[in-house]
Amino acid sequence: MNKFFKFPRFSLILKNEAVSGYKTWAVYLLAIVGFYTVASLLVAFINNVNYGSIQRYNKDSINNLFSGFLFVGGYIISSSQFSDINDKFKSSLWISLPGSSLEKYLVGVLISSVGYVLFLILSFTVASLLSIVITKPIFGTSVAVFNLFTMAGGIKNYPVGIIIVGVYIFTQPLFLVGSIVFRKGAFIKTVLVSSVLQTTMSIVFALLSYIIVKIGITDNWDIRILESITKYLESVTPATEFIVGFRLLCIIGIPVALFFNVVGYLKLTEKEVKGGI
Amino acid sequence: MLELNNVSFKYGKESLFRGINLGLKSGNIYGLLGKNGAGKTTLLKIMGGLLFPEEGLCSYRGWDVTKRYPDFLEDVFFLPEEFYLPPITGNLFVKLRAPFYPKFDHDKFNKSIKEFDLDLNKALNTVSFGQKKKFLLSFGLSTGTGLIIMDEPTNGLDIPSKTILRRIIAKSADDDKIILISTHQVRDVENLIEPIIILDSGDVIFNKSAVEVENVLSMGNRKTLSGREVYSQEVMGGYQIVEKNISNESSQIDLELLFNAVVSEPEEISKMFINGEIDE
Repeated sequence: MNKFFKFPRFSLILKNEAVSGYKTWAVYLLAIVGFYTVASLLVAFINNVNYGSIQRYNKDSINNLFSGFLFVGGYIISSSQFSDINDKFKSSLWISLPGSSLEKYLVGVLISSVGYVLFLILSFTVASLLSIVITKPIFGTSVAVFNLFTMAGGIKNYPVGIIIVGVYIFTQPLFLVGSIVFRKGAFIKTVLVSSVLQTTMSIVFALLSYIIVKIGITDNWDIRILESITKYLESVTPATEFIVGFRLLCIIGIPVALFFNVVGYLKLTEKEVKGGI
Repeated sequence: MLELNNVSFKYGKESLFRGINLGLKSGNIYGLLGKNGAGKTTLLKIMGGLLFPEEGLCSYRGWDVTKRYPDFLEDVFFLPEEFYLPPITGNLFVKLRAPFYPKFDHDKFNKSIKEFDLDLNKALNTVSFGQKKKFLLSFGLSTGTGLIIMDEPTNGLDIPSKTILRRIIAKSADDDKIILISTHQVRDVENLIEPIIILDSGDVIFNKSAVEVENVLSMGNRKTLSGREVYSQEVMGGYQIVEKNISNESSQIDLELLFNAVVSEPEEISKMFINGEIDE
């Protein structure tokens, strides 16, 4: 087991990875805080011009941008998580770092998934608090303190933010694989490849559904499917939406994440320091 | 002990090595010499577990190096010719990286840094290539690893730094360590490397200790050629020659001359060593 995983060594690698890139994280934090503050000032200012100190805007309007930062930012970060391995000069330092491939891969997964989510929650919390301190005294209105459980339109009593974070954590391993496989432009290439795959799979499933359903139901089969979908959508309540979402996340998300993480780990163990004789 | 058994390597379809066998023992500072494109860097990368051989096995103290087990990585330091250092200060780099090496010697590291006159408070990405190299050399030689592999360590170093490096390397050598230096600049490591390994045409064509070389070969300058020379090269005022040592008096080894002789006349030189061993 020591050959593959040892907690003290894993901690050292985690510390090394996290601290080495502290400048990048600090710049990102400043960018989020800056963007958030400017956006909240603008929203409060426009509200103030039109309605005075009566708040007419959604208190979570800027907090809801969390999903955008989570997915776009997170996928970009995941796409560069193992990019060192494809760099002729950086790869020597990375491969020769005393640690197993499993430990190094797990550190990458942890930083780009849970680590990034925690970083983003912290950034949004700091940014929202700072915005409140600045905008409230000036305009009399402010955004709400960031809360993952009430954001994204906040379906009452159902923490939709958790599902959003879950979707990110279960899909980002695809971008980790991209960072290992593609030497350059990993983010764009992963998006393109996954789009092509998704389109191909959609066509295949559509054809399969057509064949299967047409054999079973010969009379107005397409209208019947549409009717069933409409009926389902009409019966959806916030509770069922949350429960269905959560179940789908577990049924599809966990196997997908496991699959891509296994592929990523195996690809990482294959990597060599190529280039030059 | 580092062993290469029947190691072959290809770049694409082009074969670089075919069945290399080599054994490196602790307590030596090996010099790996070869022409451009001979495959020195590739061989070093294979030894460090950074590249996988096409065929054969490279093992170090019983570990298959391609497995890159942490215990192996803790006992090897690889200094590439060109490298990357993260944008952090030297102090932070040492704080983060030294704990990975259980035998890391902080005193030795600080002494080397002082000798090289380096500032550990500067970000590593902002200093010159030579300073980066001196930093990494100081770090590598302080790790206490049993295998230190250095690819062109003197490239980019100024003349005083080369002298300091030679001194630090000599001090670092002990009975438990294998130090392997690959270089084109043979003058920089003269009197330091022992034994000498020469790589050419996809094979190790020479692997002898300095004592063996001194016993078998004689090197020197002549105004005219006698015909006994196995290799000669014209220089100002005469020739530099390599011939069989028949006087049993050892001559100073000229690494550059030896290298040229071995690469130009590999079979002749090889025969002389076989006969030399029989004579002994």
